Amino acid sequence: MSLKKVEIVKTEKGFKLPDLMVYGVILLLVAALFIAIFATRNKDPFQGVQVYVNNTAVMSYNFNKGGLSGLEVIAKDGSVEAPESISGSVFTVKVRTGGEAYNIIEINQSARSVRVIEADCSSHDCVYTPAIKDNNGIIFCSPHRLRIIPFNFEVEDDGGNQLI
Amino acid sequence: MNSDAVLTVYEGGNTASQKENNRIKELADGVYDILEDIEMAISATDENSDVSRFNAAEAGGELEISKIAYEVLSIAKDVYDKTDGYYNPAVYYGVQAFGFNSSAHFPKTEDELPEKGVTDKYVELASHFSEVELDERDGCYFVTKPDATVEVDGEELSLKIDLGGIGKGYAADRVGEHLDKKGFDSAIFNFGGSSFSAKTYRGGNFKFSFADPRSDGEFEAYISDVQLKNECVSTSGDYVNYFEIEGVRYSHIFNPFTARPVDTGIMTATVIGGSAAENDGYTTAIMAMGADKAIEFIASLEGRRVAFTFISGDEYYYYTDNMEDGSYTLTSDKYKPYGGGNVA
Repeated sequence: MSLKKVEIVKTEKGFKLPDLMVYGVILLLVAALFIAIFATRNKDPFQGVQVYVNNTAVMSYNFNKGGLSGLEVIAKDGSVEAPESISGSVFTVKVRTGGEAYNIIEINQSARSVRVIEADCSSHDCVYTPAIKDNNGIIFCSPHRLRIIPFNFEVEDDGGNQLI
Repeated sequence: MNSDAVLTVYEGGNTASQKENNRIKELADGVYDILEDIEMAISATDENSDVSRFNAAEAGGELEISKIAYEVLSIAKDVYDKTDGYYNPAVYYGVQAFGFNSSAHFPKTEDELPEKGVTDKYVELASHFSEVELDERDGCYFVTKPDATVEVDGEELSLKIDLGGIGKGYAADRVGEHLDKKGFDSAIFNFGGSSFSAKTYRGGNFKFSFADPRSDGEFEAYISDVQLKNECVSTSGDYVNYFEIEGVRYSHIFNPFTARPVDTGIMTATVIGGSAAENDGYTTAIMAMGADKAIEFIASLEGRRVAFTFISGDEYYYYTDNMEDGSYTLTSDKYKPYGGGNVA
């Protein structure tokens, strides 16, 4: 196709009123979807997480304090094995959940995220669960009864709708 | 039971008092204990569970089991009888042979499917489920395994069971009782998206929306709504956990009389009311029966509301029974009423 023909096509295929209306509607739909998704999420700043084993808090991490001072070991039975020092923004904490069972939690300060990177549980669902980066995610290890929950986590009301 | 259990309580939250949240935490602890006890009794993967010990026992052997395993087996036997064997937890080997186990290695070609000669032997073995004997002596519970075996590929097989099919419903029943005992009347327990114990949604109805089992990839296509409260709900469908070979669908719902995935045309079955454990068995049985026999069977059920969807050729149908006006709404014109039932 010659350049002249391209120019003709461009002229002929320029935006006309119906096209603009269609694009306008698409833009509105995208905007509405964006607003619907983000307006319903808990947008409070993600400050950190609390870790529970058997419904008992064993540790927490507060990103606002940062470093090792953000880490609070609540369990007094030695089940939470934290590093003595850290370098860089990523470190791990090993949480023993009974006997030899364990989950290793990675805390990434620069990404402000928390995830499970290793566990000797049967399902490994916890390892495959995406990292918590805001107040809307949780990580749950069913076999070890371990939960990682943001400080400001709040479940949305489903309005009584059950989608089967 | 390899499924997620979700308990939603419409109380508490960030604005609730500490006392209220502690009450919910206590509830969650109690529910956890209930689920753990059930898992310990009927898990098919935990080698120490009662079901695993039953499966490992020799044909004709007796073993002591927990009260929970005894209760679930009692329900299984009762539902087996009521459905003329269309619900049968002993279809174990067929389910495994088609790859519906923890490995989920499904056959990819017809040549990889189990041969009829083999599945016939599985059927023969499963037919002995009626001979499972339960006994209660001095406060202890016992089960005797049928003295029957079949030989497949030189290996002698004894009867094995998987109670996961009604186990989720049993859990829903127990959790429902626990919610009543603890005074929570605005809550719902969902086990695996197939077994529910619903209280009220803030005093009113829950709205259950049922997906189109043949949505052809359309996102969130729902075909019907049911309004309910203070009832148990169970549903089975061939649109989850299935594989296809040359356009034929092989789902995780099995026909005990063929030891193969159901091929009756019934795509989903839902039973509302009564016990979720029984309903779990009924929905499986309805899918195995096929439409006309299922309609006969449904008429014999008391105190239950039932709906199923059915495909024949290129036509899609739905059938409901005992749904009072306004409680069931068809939201898709793709489905037509089937048979002479009480259609919405």
